[in-house]
Amino acid sequence: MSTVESPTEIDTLEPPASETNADSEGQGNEEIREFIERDYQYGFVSDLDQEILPKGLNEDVVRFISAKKDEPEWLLEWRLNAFRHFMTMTEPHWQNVSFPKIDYQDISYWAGPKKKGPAPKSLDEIDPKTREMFDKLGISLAEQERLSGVAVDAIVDSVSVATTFKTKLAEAGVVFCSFSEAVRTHPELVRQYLGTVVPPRDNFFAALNSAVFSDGSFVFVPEGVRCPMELSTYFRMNAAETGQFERTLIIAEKGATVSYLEGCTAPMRDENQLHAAVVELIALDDANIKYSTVQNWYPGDENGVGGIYNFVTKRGKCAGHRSKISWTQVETGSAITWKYPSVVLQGDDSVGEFYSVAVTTHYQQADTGTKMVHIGKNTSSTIVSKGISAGKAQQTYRGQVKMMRSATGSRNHTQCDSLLIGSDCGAHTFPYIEVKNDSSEVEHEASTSKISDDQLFYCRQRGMNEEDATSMIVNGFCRDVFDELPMEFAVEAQALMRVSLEGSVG
Amino acid sequence: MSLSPATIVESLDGHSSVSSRNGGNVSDSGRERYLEWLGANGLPTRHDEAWKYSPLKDLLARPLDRIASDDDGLAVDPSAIEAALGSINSVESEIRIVLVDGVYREDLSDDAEADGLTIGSVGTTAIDLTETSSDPSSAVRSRVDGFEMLNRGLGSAGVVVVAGDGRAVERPVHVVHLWSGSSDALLVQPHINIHVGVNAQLSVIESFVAAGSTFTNALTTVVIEADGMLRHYKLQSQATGSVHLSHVAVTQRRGSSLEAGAFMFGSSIGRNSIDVIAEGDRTSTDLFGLYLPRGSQHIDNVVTVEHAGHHGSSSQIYKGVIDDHARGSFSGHIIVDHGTVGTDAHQSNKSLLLDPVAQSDSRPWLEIFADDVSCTHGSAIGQLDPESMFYLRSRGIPLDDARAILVGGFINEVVDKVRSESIRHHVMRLVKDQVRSRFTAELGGEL
Amino acid sequence: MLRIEDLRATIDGREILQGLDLEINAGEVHAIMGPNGAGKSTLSSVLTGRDGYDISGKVTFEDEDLLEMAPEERAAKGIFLAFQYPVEIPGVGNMYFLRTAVNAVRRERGEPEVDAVTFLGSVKQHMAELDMDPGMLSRSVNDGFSGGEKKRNEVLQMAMLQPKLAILDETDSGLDIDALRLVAGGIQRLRSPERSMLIITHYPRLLEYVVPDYVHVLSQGRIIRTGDASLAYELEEEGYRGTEASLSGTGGGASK
Repeated sequence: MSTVESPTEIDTLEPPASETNADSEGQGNEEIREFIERDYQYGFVSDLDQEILPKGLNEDVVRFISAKKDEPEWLLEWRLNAFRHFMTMTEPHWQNVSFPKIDYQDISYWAGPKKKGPAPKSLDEIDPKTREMFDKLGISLAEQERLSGVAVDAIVDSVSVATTFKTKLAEAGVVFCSFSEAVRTHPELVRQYLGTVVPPRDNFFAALNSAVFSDGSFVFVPEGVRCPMELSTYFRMNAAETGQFERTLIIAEKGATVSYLEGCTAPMRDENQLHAAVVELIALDDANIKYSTVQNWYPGDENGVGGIYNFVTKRGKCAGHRSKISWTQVETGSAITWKYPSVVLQGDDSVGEFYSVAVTTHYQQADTGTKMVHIGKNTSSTIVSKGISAGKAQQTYRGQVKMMRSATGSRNHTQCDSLLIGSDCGAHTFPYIEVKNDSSEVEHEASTSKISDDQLFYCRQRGMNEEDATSMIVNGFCRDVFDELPMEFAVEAQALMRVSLEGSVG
Repeated sequence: MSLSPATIVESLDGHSSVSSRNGGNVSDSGRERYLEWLGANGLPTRHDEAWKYSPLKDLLARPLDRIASDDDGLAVDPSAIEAALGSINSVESEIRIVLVDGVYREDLSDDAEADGLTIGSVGTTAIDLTETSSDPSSAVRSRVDGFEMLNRGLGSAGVVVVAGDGRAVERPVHVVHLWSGSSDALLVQPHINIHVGVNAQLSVIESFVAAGSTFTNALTTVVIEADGMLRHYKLQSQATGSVHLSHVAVTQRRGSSLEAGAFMFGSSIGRNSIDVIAEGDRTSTDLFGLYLPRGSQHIDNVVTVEHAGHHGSSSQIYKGVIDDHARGSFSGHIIVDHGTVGTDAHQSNKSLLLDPVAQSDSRPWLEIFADDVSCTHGSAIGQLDPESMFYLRSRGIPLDDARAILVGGFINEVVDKVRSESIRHHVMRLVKDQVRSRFTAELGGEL
Repeated sequence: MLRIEDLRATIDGREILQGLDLEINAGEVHAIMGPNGAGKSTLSSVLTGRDGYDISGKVTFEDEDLLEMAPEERAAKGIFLAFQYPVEIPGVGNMYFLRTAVNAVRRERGEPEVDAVTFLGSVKQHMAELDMDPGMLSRSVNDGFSGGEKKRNEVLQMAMLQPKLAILDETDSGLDIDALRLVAGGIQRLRSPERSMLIITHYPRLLEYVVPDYVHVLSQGRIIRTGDASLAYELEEEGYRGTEASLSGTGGGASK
């Protein structure tokens, strides 16, 4: 187990005040340069005082987790039903990834900071070591500090440790808290919506999550409210040999708007750790949910040892008319990613979007994409996927666009491009387009190629070295997606790309 | 137990129950091998991606009277199929090969010795493929499925067409697949084995015109030797009620080129599949197809090109026009092997839906294991452009005619890909009939 | 400054440059003219280090072996190529590209990076001189630019990078007369006693504005004739064929 000293000046990534609009994407380039020498910089382990459940999975574990969180009887039953169904399922293998069989009995399903007396009443009471860990990650748990426009829910292993700006959000009527807290404070909302977008039996990993999910974030934006700040959850896996199974539920009532960001990191370990999250989004009439992810779980080392198995089910339901759900993801981490943030377009005139950049290097594998299921009339969806594969990595875009018979007058446009760097990697594009009515239109375009020699030569003739040139061209390739990210994340995403591709060139 | 593809395979346990097929042929070591494979792996299931959009349940349970034997085809009196033969339009200066119930009928076929072509049943002394660099009919590739093995294991002996090295065969070969009608639900499994020699050139048209509720499970195996060229066209206009599965497996050697077009008009359930392995360097592969399902037709196209050599180029252009409550699908697949360089591969699928309950599925896949590639795919599903429709109608053209004209324009691109002029005319005549019968409108101009 | 001796370049088994000699001193403007396929663009590619050629002969730039250097090293040494077909780089802002290039070159030369305000001021001034819309700065590099915009963008980059040797590869092609005048003006402004230029062109029209000190005729991979600016017009009247014919038997190899 190796530990890497983490830089503390991560906030150099903060965008400098911009002089001109024209130069906006140049920001952070110098800072990016500083990253060059570094490997995975979040690989440290924090010495937290934690309680870890012995390995193994059975009904008692499910009961333990539920009891640990003082859950109501209905939720325990819900979990047990999911668990019983899970036991009848087999691990799916249709994805274009390969990994050794996972022993689900060899994982600990609970790890969290040891409670010392009652839960912290205010942010000041957070365990200093936990606070220190987040400081190292560049995530401030103090409200007055730099990410002052962003409310943060910090989750370590299985447990939410802090949520900032709760009071300010509450004034606007927005509920932003840990999932466990929501079960206590807003049981009726949780009960009404939990599992309505991703049912417990949806798939193997969703069933597992439903049985053993530990914590996660909960967001409720009431009718007509525009959430006054960005909401963000920061996930940190710290303990060894544990799985992380968080569950996030976001509800935007009629006319509500919310933008939510999610970041994640994990220590460097030789073992593979399982992360099987479920995210459910519900948008009612005229509601708008924007969900952005920068996924940077530990990807394993250059020989493919270690790293996170990121098997995640994310789905949003545009339940209401004219509602909109937009997923943006930048995926650079994890040894294996298996993830298809999807939108069910149920309401008429609803809109679904998926913007994705996925980078795989070394021995990383990713099978990612989206599903757009059009049910309502005049619904529209956009898919922009940019994949970059380097080293010995294999990457697959898998996407489904389905126009149901009822979805008359609907539209989809998909643009799906892959860039290959090096002759030993792979890039695969597996779209499924299914149209069952004659008034919808679907357009799909895709390309796969290596970085153009002409572009590289042009940049080098202007004085840039090959690596800088590659980085610039790749960032340009991803521009359409980065443009969708909130500013704080856009800069971080470009920096991450740079670090991920380090050493892949030449 | 009633006979169906599924029950045939179930009964393969030791394949004793079907070993009476074709006299002693089953003991043939090749067939043994295929049947063993089939016994072990079975027919496709819904988990087979290549069969994802096919109505597998119907196919597997399709009731059959029996499996056609070579005797069926040979026993048919020419007068019995005269009408059918007469209904087939000839291609200009064609060399005709007639198969009845999947069996080569030398007596009804043209002699092609003078054209540098060798044609004959497998097993006849005239054909010795061991002299050529490989016997494509025996090669079992990585991508095979149960229906191909069913053909290889229990199909007819097959006919071999060999264009010798350096022979540029000018006259097109027209393979006409006829049915005896001796039994209504007959499983007919022809196997055409085409060998294009080094620097040889050949054009082959296969016309499928089965009547009744025949179940056709055809196989065409092709090897194109270095610098050889093959043009292959499949014209399928089987009767409604019939099933048509046809698979073309091609191996291309260095510098060879292939042009293959599939025109799927008939049958209730139709599946056109082609799998090309461009094994040599600098190959050129040009695949295209047209499918026009209507009524309750269900037509699938499964097109795979694997680039295993350097500097290969390939294109796939498939178009569908889907009417009524019919279904049409395209599953294209480009594979570029690890270690290859300079591949240029493109894929395009466009379809028009003409009815609110018509259905189109498209699955344009790229699977790329090398970086020195330029690959694209595009897919578009939509309807006739309302603006164009309005434009034509504002010029006084009635609705049906306007539709026919726009559909014709949409289709033309595919027909134009047929490079040989005489064959293009032949294809165009068929396509015109199809479009005309749909819109009851006379088509002028180009189409 | 630049000395080329017996330069030969082969691509795909075809020898394009067949023993080319040329010397360019500081402050001189040389034009190379010749028919299509004479090797004009190959010369610019070889001098700037594009991959794919088998090269022999000797090229020194300020007494250093140029052929050993990577493209970016040559750029840092002060060699600039205005591309005949400027490359489009989608998603990369023109301004960002320009600043990255300028700073990369400055860093290589041990000069401090230019601050944003100074840089922007300088860019805007040059753009005004080239009559370029400032909005082009926020567009992607050459992406969707018209032919004329691309060529002006090349000259803008040249002005910002302040090279010692500028190679202009058919910079005049595809320009209407107004654009040609603007581009030529941009080039002319950059003339200085320290800066040399190598103008590769098919027609003499650019040379009306940027009058060269020497004109060379390139044919079949070597310089077959050298003269002053008047040679360009002579060529226009007689055509290259005439020149080639009149020189057949002289053994070629003429250079200054």
